[in-house]
Amino acid sequence: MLGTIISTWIAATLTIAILSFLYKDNPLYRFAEHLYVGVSAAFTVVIFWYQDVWPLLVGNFGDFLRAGNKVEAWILIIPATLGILMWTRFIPRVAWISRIPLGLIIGIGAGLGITGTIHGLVLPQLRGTMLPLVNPAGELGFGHGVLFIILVAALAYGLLFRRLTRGVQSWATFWSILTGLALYILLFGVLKVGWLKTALSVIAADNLLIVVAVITTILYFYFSREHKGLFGVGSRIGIAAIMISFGASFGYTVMARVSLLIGRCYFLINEWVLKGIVGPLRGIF
Amino acid sequence: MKLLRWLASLDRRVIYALVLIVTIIPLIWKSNPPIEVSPEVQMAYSSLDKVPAGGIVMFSIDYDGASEAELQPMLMAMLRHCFSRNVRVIMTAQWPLGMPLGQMALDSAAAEYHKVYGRDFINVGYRPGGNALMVGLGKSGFRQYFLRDFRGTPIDSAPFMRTVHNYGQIDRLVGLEAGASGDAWVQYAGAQFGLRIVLGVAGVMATSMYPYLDAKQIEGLVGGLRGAAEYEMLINHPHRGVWGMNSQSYVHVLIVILVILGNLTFYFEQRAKKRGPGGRGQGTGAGEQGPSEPQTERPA
Repeated sequence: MLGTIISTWIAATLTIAILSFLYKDNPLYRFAEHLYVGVSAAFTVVIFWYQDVWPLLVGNFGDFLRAGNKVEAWILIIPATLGILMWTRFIPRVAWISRIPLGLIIGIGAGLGITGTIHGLVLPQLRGTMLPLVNPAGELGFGHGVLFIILVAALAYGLLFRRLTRGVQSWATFWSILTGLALYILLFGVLKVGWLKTALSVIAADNLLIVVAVITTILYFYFSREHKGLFGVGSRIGIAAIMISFGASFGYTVMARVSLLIGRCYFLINEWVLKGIVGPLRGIF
Repeated sequence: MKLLRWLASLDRRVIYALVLIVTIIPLIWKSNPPIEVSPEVQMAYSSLDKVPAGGIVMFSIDYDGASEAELQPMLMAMLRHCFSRNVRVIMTAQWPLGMPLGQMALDSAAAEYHKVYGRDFINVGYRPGGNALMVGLGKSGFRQYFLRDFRGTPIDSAPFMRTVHNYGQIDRLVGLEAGASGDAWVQYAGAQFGLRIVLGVAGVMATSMYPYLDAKQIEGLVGGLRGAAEYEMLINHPHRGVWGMNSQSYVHVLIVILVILGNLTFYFEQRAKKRGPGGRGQGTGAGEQGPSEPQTERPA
């Protein structure tokens, strides 16, 4: 119990020390920062030694010898030697020797990487992009709304707002998207135009969006031809797809960073204040 | 314009203080906000729910203290789900600093469901090797890499481990990821050996995992603290994830308001500048300085 209270107080003090940087840099923050780096490094070394190096090398060597598996025991000399050779990087005269184990690591990594990427990423993702573009269910989904708004916005931009806004791209884009959104609400939400709904639901909108986004994004990264004309239009759609992806990533990143703050605040309130301060005080009084 | 000028020159520490207040107050109340479960988290839950009693789920702890706030509630929720259904658990770690976090969660969840180490779960600890290890576990088998658990006890002392030789005996792999190990599990263990995978990932990398879900390379995706909260709702055990969602929502609202105010300030400043020095709304000049960075006073 006492050990838990002491460790909670240490953790809380270090948390506050790190957060104090938000006010301004100070010695307490720097102490906590260096302590974190040092403890993490030391902990990693200890884990490596007691979980891996000692049991897998020394422990297994003894176990194999006792079991009479002399070949399996002595073969451990090879990885041990390769591991020791890595340390020659710190002696400039013989540093080249470290290239031998490094070469082995790079070779294995490249070999595994090539097969893994082709078999585990490229082919399954290609299969995942070969999607049916006809919607047999005939129901409208979120993708249909997005598709309708994009189509209307593209038409409005090209035919109307580019001229009306005298080429101010940001305003033209804004009004085009707003028109698309307003028409979608009017036609599908208020008027509920049946034939339009039927016509749109034939398309598998989600799949179409994925296929178009993948193709246009790849077009954007094709640099052997100038991005003009139809190719340029495709490339610009690709940029839009990439930007949407960045936006989603950024949104998730904001959420993740706020989550980290929530995690620390939760610890300070529940573990430190309630269990580390209020709890013991209740016990005393 | 006065208000905008004041906003443009606002000390960043006021914003930090606002965020801190908005984060702390909802945490004190610990209410359960309404949480709608997303399809990807539902898929993850259903996938683990289909593992029969006595089946084996392997957890890979591929994060450290920096992502604890997001991934530990997720791990706890998934462990509770497994233990409540008498599913056995093997825990391993691709990150050395993840091992103690995993063990803490195992101890806590096992105590809640009266599970016994060695009978119901085992922690085989950390092994280096990354991709090579993942391929090796499928080809050469567990005993080439894990003869003993993290305490040094032979893994065969756990009765259920005697039947585990490679991925063939593992019903699901749950990868809790803050780095690239999740991709590796999918590309090596999943694609090459057919291991069925559920991923729980930190928020920053959640979007990069959706292609795996769309291509059916993983059976479910739990992203960030929000995902953890959804999973807690599914197992009907609201805890850290759910309690954190109120703060998350309010901070998001605050951030959106600040973004809108920042953009308005920037817009009016630019407009004032365009009008020229004699114009009515002369800019404050604060916008030219760009976003304020933390001022370090560290000596060179």
